[in-house]
Amino acid sequence: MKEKNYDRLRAALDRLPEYDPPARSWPEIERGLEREGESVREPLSSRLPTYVPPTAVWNAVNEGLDAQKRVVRRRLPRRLLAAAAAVALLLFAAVGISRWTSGPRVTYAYSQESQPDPVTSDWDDDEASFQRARAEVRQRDEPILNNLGHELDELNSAREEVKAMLVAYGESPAVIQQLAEIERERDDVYRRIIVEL
Amino acid sequence: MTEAELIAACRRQDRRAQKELYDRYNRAMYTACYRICGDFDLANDALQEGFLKVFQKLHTFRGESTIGAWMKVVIVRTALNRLRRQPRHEELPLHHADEELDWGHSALDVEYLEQAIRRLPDGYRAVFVLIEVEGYKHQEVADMLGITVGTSKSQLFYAKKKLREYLKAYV
Repeated sequence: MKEKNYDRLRAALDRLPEYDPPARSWPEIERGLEREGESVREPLSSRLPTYVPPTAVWNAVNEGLDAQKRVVRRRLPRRLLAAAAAVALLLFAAVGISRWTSGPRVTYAYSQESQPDPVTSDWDDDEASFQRARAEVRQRDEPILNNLGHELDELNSAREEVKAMLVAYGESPAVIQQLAEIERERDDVYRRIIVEL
Repeated sequence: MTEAELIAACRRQDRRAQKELYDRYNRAMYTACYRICGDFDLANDALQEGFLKVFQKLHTFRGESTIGAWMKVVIVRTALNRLRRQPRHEELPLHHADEELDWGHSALDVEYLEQAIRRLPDGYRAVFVLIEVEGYKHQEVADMLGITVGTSKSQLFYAKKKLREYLKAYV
C-alpha cells in the first residue's frame, strides 16, 4: 500500500488528546487488590478473629517449667545408691567375717528387763494415699500436677530400689537413712500435690 | 522513589507504591484503552482489570523493556479481550497492496480524526491504534491478536481506507 501525504495523518495522530480515567478507577482497583489479597495470600485462619489467652496460662507454664527444673535437681543420683549398696555389703561382710574368725570365747552375763514391744517400721503405711493422689493427678492431667506426679514416680522408683537393698542386705543404718531421706522428699511432693489438688 | 524502587515496593504489595505506579501511568494506559475499545466505560473496565493483572504479574517483569512498555502490553491485551465483538480478520488481497491512499494536502482535524477512529470496526480500530498510535510493529500486533503478520497488514490497510472515507465525509 502506498500512502501520499502520510505526514498529514502523522501530525494529526501526534496531536490526539489524552484522557484521564474517572476518579472511581483507583478505588475499584484497590478493592480488587484487597479481594485478591484476602482470597490468595491469607488463609482462613488469619482472617478469623484471634483471642488472647488468660494470664493464668503463662503462669502455669512458667510454674511447670520451674517444677521441671526442681525434678532434675531432686533426682537421686544412681551412683549414690550404688555406693550406699556397696557400703552396706561391706559392712555385712565385715560383721560376718568377724563372727566367723572368733577369738577367745567370752561369756556375757546379763539380766533381762521388760521393754515395750519394738515398733516395726512399715514403709508402706501411707502407700494407699500416695496412690490415690497419683491417680487423681493422672485424671486431672494438668502441667503442674503432671510434673509433681513425675517427681513422685522418680522418688517411688528410688524408694523401691532402696527397699530392695534392705531386703537383700539387712537394715543397714546408711540404707535406712537413705530411705528416710526419700520418704521425706516423697512427703514433700505429696504435700505439694495436695495443695495443687 | 526511583522506578526500580517503586517496582520492588509494588512487588511487596505496598499499596502506596501501587498507587504511585498507577498515578504515573494511568493517563497513558486509559487513553490507549479508550482508543482500542472506542468506549469510555469499556476502557475504564479494561483499565481496572489491566492494572490488577499488572500488579499480579509484576514478579514476571524482567526489566527487558521499560516498565511502561511492559504494562502497556498487559493492559492493551486486556482491552483487546474486552472487545466483545470478534474482530474480522481479513487478509489483504494482493491487488490491494498496490492501492494508493492520499491523506490530502490540508491538515487533518484532530477532533474529526478522533471520531473517525472511534467509528472504525473493532478489528480495524485495534490494529490501526496499535500500529499508528501506539507504535507497535506488525509482528507484535500479530502476536497480541493471535493473527498473522499478513492479516495485521490487511487490517491496517482497510482501517486506513475506511478512515480516509470518514474524514472526507467530515470535510
